[in-house]
Amino acid sequence: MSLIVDNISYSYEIESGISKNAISNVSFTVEQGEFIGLIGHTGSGKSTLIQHLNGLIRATSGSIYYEGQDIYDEKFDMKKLRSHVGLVFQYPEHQLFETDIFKDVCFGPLNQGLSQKDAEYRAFEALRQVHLPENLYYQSPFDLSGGQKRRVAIAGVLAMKPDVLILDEPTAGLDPKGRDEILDHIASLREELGITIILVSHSMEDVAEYVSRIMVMNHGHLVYDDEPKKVFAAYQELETMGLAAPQVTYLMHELNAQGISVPSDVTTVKEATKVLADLLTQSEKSSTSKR
Amino acid sequence: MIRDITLGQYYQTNSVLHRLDPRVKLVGTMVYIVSLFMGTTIPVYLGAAIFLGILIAISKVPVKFMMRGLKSILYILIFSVVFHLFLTPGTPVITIGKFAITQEGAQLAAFMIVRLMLLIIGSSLLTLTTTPNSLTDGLEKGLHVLTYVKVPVHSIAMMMSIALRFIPILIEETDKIMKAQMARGADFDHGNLIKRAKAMVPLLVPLFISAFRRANDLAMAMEARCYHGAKGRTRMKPLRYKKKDFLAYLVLIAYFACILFLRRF
Amino acid sequence: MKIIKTDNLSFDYIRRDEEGNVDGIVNAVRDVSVEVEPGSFVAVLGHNGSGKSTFAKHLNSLLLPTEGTVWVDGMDTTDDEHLWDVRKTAGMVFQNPDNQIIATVVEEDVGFGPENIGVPTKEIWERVEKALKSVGMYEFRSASPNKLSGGQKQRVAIAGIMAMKPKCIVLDEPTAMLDPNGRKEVISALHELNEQEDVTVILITHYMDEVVGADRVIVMDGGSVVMDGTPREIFSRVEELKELRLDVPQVTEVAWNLRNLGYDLPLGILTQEEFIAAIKEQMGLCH
Repeated sequence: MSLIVDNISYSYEIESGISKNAISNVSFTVEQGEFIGLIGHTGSGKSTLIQHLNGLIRATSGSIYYEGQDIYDEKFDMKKLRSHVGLVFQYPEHQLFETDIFKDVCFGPLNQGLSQKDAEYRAFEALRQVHLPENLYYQSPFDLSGGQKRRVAIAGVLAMKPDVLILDEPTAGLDPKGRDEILDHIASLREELGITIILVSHSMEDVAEYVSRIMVMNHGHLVYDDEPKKVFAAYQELETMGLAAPQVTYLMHELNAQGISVPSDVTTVKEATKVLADLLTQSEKSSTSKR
Repeated sequence: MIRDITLGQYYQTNSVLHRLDPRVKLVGTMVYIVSLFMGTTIPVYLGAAIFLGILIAISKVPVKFMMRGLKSILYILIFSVVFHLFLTPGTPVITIGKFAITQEGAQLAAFMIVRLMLLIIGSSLLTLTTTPNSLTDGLEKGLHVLTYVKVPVHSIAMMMSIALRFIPILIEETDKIMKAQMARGADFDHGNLIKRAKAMVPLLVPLFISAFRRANDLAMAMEARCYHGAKGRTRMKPLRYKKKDFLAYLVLIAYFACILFLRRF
Repeated sequence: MKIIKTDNLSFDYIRRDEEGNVDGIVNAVRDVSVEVEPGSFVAVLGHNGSGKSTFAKHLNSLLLPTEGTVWVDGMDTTDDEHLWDVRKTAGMVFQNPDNQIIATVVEEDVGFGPENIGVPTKEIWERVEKALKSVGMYEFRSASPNKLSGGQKQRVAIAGIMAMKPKCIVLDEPTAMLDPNGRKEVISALHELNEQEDVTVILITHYMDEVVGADRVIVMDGGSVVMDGTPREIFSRVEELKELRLDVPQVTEVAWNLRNLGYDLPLGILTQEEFIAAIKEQMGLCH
C-alpha cells in the first residue's frame, strides 16, 4: 500500500465569484503500517483533506496516487478505492440504520459485491476486532451505549478490509473511559492487522500517546509533518494555531525556564515520570554526597 | 446545489423595505401577485415590472443574488414555455413533425415567462427582506383572528420558525450521512429507479433518527426556558405599525389603482 | 438558604423492550442528598451512565424524583405552582449547541426565555444586551447561529439562560462536543459569570481540566455520589479516580506517580506552578 498526495488544493465558492481555499498545496506520502495523527483546529481543513483520500471530494488541482495509480484517472475505480481507504466519519454512530448490528456491519461488504455468506463472515470478524460482546450482535444498534455504537460503526468500515483506516475524531463526545477504549482498540488493530491508521484529532494528549508521526494543518496548509517530539518542540507556534502541546511538555519547558535542567522533548505522563524520578534521585544523591 | 436556492433566503441590508412591518410586506406581496393576474397585457406587466424594479432598488439586495434563485426553477420555466409553445391552438409559424409552434403560443409563452419571473422575483423579495422570524411573527399576528375559530396560529407559527432554523442544519446532515454511506460503498447515483429508491434507506433512516433526536432535545431546551405556548408571552420585537407602514399601504393602494388603470389599454 | 438541596433523591425509569413489555427497572439516580451554597461553582463529574445528567435534569423540573425531594431556592420541584419559578431560578444549558438554539438570529434567541416569562419588551432588550455582553457575544447579536463556532453557540445558549436572570445555571456537558478552544471559551465565560454576576454554576462534565477551577467537585458513579470535596481533596485520591475510569490532569498524575515511587510530593497537586514548587522543595532549592 502506498498513498501519495501530490500538491493538492481544494477551493469552493462561498459567494458568487468569491472562492475560498479549504486546502492549499498539500503534499505527503503515507506508507504501509504507519500510525499518523492529523491535527488542526476546527476549520483548519483536516476533515476536508481526509475526504480527498478516498475520493469523496475531488481536488481542484494536484493529484493523488494510490498504489502508483492516479485516482483521478478516468479508468480508476473509485469504489474500489473506498474499500481500500476506509473512512470513519465524526460521530459515525449517526450513520447506523439497520435493524440489528450484524446487518449494519454487513452493509459495506455487501456493497463491495461480496456474497451474503462472505459478508457475514467479514462482519463477524470485524465485530470481534472491535471487541463487541457477542450477545449484542443481533440487538438493535440503538440500544447500545455511545461507546459501543461507535465501535459498531467502526466495525462497519473495518468489515470492508481497508488497508488504510482514517478516523475523524473517533473520541469526540466520549467520556475518558470510552475514549481510552476506542484508542486502545485502534492501536491494537494496527498491530494485529498491520493496517495504516490516520487519526484525526484536536487532542494532543490523545495523539501523543499513540502515533509515530504527526501532521498539523492550519488554514488549509500542512504546516508540520514530523515525529511527535519534533512537532511538540514547536509548542509556541502550535499555540498560535489554536493548538497546544500536552501539559507535561509545558511543564518541562517551565522547569527548564526556572533553571531546573530536564529534557524538554517529553510528551507523555510516563516519560515525564521517569525523567523527574531520575532528576530527584540525582539531586538526592548529590545532596547526600555533599553532606 | 441545494444551497443555491435563494427562495426563502434572507439577505441583510439596512433598507426601508427591510424595516417595514412584515404584515405590510405580506399584504403587499399578495396585492402584487393578484395584480399580475389582473390582465395579460403589456402595460400591466410593464407597470408591475417597473414597480418591482423600484422595490429591488430600494431593497439594496444585489440583483445577481436574486437571479441565482431563478436558476433553481429554470426547469419549471422551460417546461411551461415548451408546454405553451406547442400546445396552444392558433396560426402555425414553425412546424416540427406533428407539433406546431403557433403565433398565439409564442405570445402566451412570452407572457408566461414574464409573469413567472415577476412572480418569483417578487415573492422572493419578501423573504429576502424579511427574516424568517419576523415573517412568522407577521403571519401569527396577521392571522390572529383565526384563533377565535380554534386555529392554533401561535403553534403553527412557532413550528414554521423552528423548521426554518433547522432546514440548513438538516441539509448539512444529509450531506454528511450521504458521504459516510458512500465511504461504506453505497451508491446513490447509479441503477434503476427501484435500486436508487432502495439506496435511500441508509440515508433516510439515520436522517429521521437524527431529526427526532433533535426535536426531542429542542423540546426539552424550550421547556427549560419556560416555553409554554402563547399564554402570557411577551415579544422582544412586537409588531407595531409605524408611519412608514401606513405610507407603504398608501403606496400599495396607488400601485393597485395604477394596474387597474393600465388594464384598460 | 441553600440554592439547591436534594434529600434522598432517587429516580428510576422503566426499560421496555420492542413490544413495550417491561424489560427492567433502571435506578438512574440513587439516594442523592446534596446541598449547594448560593454563589458557588460546583462541578459534577462522572462517566457516561453515572447518572449525572439525570441528576441535572431534576434541578429544573425536567424530571421529577421517583423518591425523595429536590428544592430549588426553597421551592419543591414537584410543586406545579412553582414550575416556571423553578425553571427561571435554575436555568439549564445542554450538550448539543445546535439543538437548543431556537431562533435564526442570535439576539432573538437570547430573548426567547424572557419572552416566555412575560418580561416587558423594553426590559427584554436590556436583558438581552446585558446577557450577550456578559458572555462576550454582543458583537454577534444580529448574526445567524449557523455561522457561529461551537463555543460561540454555547455562549449564546448561556446568554439565553442569563437573560432570564437565574440564580443558578446548570450545564449538562456543555463542552462535550466542542474543540479545545471552544471548551476554554465556555469555561472561562462561566467563571466570569460566577464571579461577576454571583450566579451559582453547576457544571456537569467529564473533562477533568474543567474541574480544577471549581469550588467543589462531586463525583458520581452508578447513580450515587461517591466523592464530594474541593478539587484538591478529590485529586488527592488518584487511585479511586482511576478506578472510576476518570482522568486526572497530567501534572497531578505525574506527581502521584512520583509519590508512588517513594518521593515525598504533596497530595493533590493541581497546577504546573504547584508542581514546580513541589519539585524545588524536593530538590532543596527553596524553603
